[in-house]
Amino acid sequence: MTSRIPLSDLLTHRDGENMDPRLSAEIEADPESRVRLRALREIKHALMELPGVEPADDIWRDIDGSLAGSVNLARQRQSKPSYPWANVATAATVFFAAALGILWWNPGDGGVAGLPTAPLADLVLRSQQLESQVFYPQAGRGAAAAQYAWNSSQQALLYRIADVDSELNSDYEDRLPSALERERLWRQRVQLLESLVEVQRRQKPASRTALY
Amino acid sequence: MARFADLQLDSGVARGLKRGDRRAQAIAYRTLAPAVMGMAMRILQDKGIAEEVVQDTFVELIEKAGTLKNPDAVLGWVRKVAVNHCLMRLRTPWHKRRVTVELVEDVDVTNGSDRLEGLQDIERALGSLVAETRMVIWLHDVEGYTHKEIGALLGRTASYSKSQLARGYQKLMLLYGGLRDDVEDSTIRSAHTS
Repeated sequence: MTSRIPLSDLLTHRDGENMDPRLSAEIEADPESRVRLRALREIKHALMELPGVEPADDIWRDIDGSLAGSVNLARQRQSKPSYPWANVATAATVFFAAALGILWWNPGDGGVAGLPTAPLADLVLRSQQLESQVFYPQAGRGAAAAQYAWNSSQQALLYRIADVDSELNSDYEDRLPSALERERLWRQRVQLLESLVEVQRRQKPASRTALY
Repeated sequence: MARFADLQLDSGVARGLKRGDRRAQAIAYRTLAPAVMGMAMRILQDKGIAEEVVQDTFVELIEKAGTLKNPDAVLGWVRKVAVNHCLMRLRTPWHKRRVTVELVEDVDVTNGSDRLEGLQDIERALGSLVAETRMVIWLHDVEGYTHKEIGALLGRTASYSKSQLARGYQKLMLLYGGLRDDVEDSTIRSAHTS
């Protein structure tokens, strides 16, 4: 019985990084290794064949427009929401889906099998509603998220929300948090979002610079 | 093609970039942006973030092109800057905790449905890997980086890069269309009998 040639050896052979004649002979003598080697070559070829991707038209317009208008590009870019927040609404939607899925799936910790516990479900829904208010102030969730130049208090709140999300998320990766812990985190998330909505409400419309 | 190695930038354009010529900047963008975007999409698996990488890379190019000693090195320079921007984003806690990936959309493939299926398969398979593994595979297999270069880029060793490549391929072999074990087995059987 022949031992299987490790994948790493086949890869180094494929890429010409190890031209050990003994390895070549071993591969040549083993039909399975030849098939695996061919598969490795096919995958590499497929990867190399992948086409370029055209970025959206407005990317160049943003760069070019800024240069043409002699606007300090670096300064203008700083006024954009830092990238986590530009994507926060999308990610939060994903996060909610995951969170609700886990709540639904986990019958433990005093919950009714198959259903999220009432306070938790309420907190999740409240959190979702508040998030809609923050990121979709004019329209429903189907609309593109509004992008504002966040002020420092808003940014601080957003970072704290991200911390809570991170805590919830890392817990989900390692172990399911207790119902009590989940509730505490979701409550905290709701409170932070309420503060964010309040700050946003007080902000004069003129100072909420729409970027797009 | 998404590979930088397949691209060429006219030396006049490169010199124009150095002078700050706006037409040269537009040509350089048209030529190089799809490669930057393609690489960023495959590594980051997020269109919005990939476009940020494109924007940041070209802003840096335009702002710093004047300092380039060798205009012919623009291609390599753009690739290096784009890779760094991808890496920077992979390292953010935000990206690390993303639970899902958005698969590549709007990929312009024009050579028939069979090819499209194959490319979509490999896109999907690549998208299912851990981000750092994707990066290693892309840089090594598509961009031709050595394991030593990748190791240095990631703050690791060449061996780490090698092991990531092998780990990634282990999964790609299972996922990529036509390369599943059962197909392998039948091919092996037929090889044995012939």
